[in-house]
Amino acid sequence: MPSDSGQPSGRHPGADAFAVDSVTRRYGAVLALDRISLGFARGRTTALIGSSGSGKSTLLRLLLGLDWPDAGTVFADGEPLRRGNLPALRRRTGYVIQEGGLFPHLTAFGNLALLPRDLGWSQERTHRRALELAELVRLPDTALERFPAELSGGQRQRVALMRALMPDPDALLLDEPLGSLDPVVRHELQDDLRRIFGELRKTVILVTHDLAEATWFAERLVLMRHGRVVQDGTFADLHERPADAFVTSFVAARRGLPVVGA
Amino acid sequence: MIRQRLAAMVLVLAAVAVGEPAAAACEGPVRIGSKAFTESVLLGEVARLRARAVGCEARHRRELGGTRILWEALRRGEIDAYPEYTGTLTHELLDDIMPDAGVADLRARLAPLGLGISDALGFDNTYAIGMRADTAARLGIRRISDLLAHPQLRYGLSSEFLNRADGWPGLSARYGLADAVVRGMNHALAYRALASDAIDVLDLYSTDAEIAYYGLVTLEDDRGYFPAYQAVFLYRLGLHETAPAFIDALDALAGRIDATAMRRMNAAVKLDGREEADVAAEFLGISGAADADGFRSRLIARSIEHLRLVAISLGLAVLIAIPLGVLAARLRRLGHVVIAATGILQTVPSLAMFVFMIPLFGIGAAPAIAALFLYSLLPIVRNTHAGLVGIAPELRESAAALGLPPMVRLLRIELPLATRSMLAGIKISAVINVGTATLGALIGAGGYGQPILAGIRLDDIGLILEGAVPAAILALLVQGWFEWVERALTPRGLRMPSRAR
Repeated sequence: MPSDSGQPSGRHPGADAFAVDSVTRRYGAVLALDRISLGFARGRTTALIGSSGSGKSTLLRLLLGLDWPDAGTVFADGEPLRRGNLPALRRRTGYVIQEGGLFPHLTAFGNLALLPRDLGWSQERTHRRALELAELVRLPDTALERFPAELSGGQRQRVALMRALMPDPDALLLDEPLGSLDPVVRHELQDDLRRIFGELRKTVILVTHDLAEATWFAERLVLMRHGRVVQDGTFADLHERPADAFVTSFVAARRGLPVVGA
Repeated sequence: MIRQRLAAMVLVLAAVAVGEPAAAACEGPVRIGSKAFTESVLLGEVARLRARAVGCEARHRRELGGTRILWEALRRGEIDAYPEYTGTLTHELLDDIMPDAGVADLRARLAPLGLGISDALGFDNTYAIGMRADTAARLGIRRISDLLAHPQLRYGLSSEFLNRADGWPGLSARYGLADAVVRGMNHALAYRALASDAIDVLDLYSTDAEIAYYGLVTLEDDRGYFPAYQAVFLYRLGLHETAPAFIDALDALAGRIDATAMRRMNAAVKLDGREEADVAAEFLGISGAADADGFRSRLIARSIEHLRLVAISLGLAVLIAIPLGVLAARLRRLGHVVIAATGILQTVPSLAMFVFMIPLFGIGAAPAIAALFLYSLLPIVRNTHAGLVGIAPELRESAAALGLPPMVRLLRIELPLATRSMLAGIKISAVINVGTATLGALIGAGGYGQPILAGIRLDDIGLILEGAVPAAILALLVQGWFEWVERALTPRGLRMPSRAR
C-alpha cells in the first residue's frame, strides 16, 4: 500500500525548503504525478528514486517553476510558487541536469559568468568566485577558458555544478547529474559530490534511478512509481520494511549493495 | 553586333564631347516613358532628342512595362509623356468612346484627365495576325477567316494581346476561333518560335521589322476587326506651363513618321542591332546626342542600381523578419500565422508581385524594393524561428533555471545559438533577391534586368548576357560574402566539434 509519507494534505509547509501539496501533473493521457504531497527539509539531502517515467524529474521541475501542476500547490520557503517570485527563487537555487546544459557558444567561464553579470558583480568578484569553486570541484583552472565541446564529460558536469553554485544558492536540485558518465568518472564524481554536499550543508534534492547512488548521497530516499510515492524512508526502511512487493523487487534488482542490518 | 554598338557609342561620345545644348527652355527635366518593345523605345528616343533639340533637359525611362503601367505612370505624374496608339486608347484605356474616335475626339476626352495628345505621327501600327508565307501558301490561308478551317494550327500570342479588350478575346469572338489552341508568350520570342516551327500563328504589329525578315504574311482582316492604331504621344497638360517648347517639338513631329520610316527604324534596331538613340538621331537628322554610355560606366550604373535594390530590401527584411521570427518562436499560435502569411507572400508569382506594388509605390525602385522586401521575409522569419525552436530543450530550460530574465536569455543565449540558422536564412534571401531583382527592370527600377529585357526584345544574346552574367557573378559574390560572415559571426564554441583542440 502506497504511503504518502510526507505530511498529510493541507498541512502548513512552513519549515521546509520545498514542499508540494497534492500536486497532479498530466501529459495528455499520462499521469506523471498523482496527488503527491512531500516536504524537503532545509539543509538535508533527499534522493528521489524510481524507474524512468516514475515522475521524479517532473517533480523536480515543478519545484523550480519549470513546469506547473494541473492541481495542487508547490511551496518554496513556505510561499506558494507564483510566476512573480520565480526569478528570486531560481537565483537562490542551483539546478544541474544530466548533460549539464552548458551553453556551447560560451566558454566554461562564460557559462559561469552569465548570472553574476546579470547580478551586477564585478569582473574581479566573478573571477574570484570561479577560482574558488574550481578548487572545490577540483577543476583545473585552465579548463575555464575552454568551450564545452573541448571538455570531458566529467569536466562538463563539474562546470555545470560550479555554474549552479556561483551565486551561493540555498539549495541544489540535481537531475541525474552523473547519468551520462562512464563508471570510473562517475565513481570519482560521486566521491567529490558527497564531499561537496557535506561541506556546503545545502538543501539538496537529487533525482536518480540508481539506488546505490541515492544511498551514497542521501539518508532519505523517496521511491516513486507511476506518479506516486511508494515509500519514503532510509535505505534500511526500504530494505527491511518494504511498503509493497515493488519496493522489494526494486531493492532486489540492485546487486552489490551494502548488506544492511544482517 | 557588340562591335557595332561600341562603334556607335564612340561616335556618340565624340558628339557629346563637342557640345550639348543648354537646358533652359523648360523647368526641370521632361520625363519620357516607353513601353517594353522596340518601337515604343524608339519613339521615346525621338521625343527625348526633340526635347534636347529645343533646349529642354529630358530623361527617357525605357521599357517601363506594358500599356497599363505607362498609362498609370502618366496619370500619376511619374512620367510626363509616352508614345501611345489611338486604338489602345479607344479600346483599352478609355470607356464610353466611339471605337473609331479620331485624335480630336480623344483630345476632348483626355483633357478632363489632365492629359494631352499630340497629332498623329503619321503611321498606323495596327495589330495583325501573321504566319510564315510558306505555311500560309501550303494551306491556302489568306484571310483571318481562313484559319477556321485549320483547327490544328498552334497560336503563340503575346500576353498583352491575349488579354486586351481589343486583342484576342474580341478577335476570337468575331471570327469564331474560340476553340483554337493558344499559348501566351513574349512577343519577341514568338518570332523565334515561329521560325523554329514551334508555333504557326502569331499576333504582330504591322510595323514590325521581322515581317520581311522572317518571310511572313499578314492575314487580311476580312471582318474588319482591328481598329486603327495611329501613333501619338500622350503627355500631361501641365507641360504647357513647365515645358511649352517640348509640346511644340512633339507637335512638329505630326505626320513626320510614316509606316516605311518606322519599319526601317525598327529593322535598324532589331535586325541590325543598332542603338535606339542612334537610329532615332539619324531619323531626326541629328548627329549623335544619344545618352548612351560606355560599357563600363553602364555596367557600374546598373550594378549600383541592382545592389541598391538588393541591399535596401534585404536590410529592411532583416530588421522586420528577425523580430517576427523571435515572436513566432515565442508565441506558438502567432508563429503559425506569421509563417503562413510570409509563406503565402512567397507563392505570389514574382512578376505579379512587382506589378501589385505599382498602385502602392508607383514605378521605379520603390515598388521593386517593396516586392523584394516581401520575398525576403520568409527565409529569414522561418530560419530565425527554426533556429530558436531548434535549441535543445535542456539548454532552454537551463537558461530559465539560472533565473535570467527573458530578454537576457534571448540576447545572450538563444539568439547566439540560433546565429547559424538565421544567417543561412539571410543568405538565402540575399541570393534569391539578386536574381529576382532583375525583374525590377520591368517596372522601371533599372539594374541588371535592363539589358536582359532589351536583349530579349532585340533577340540579342550578347545584350542578355550583359545583364545575366553580372547578375550571376553578383549572386556568387553575395553567397561567398555571407559564408565568410557566417564563419566570422558563428560563436567559436558552436564551430568546435569538428576540430577539437
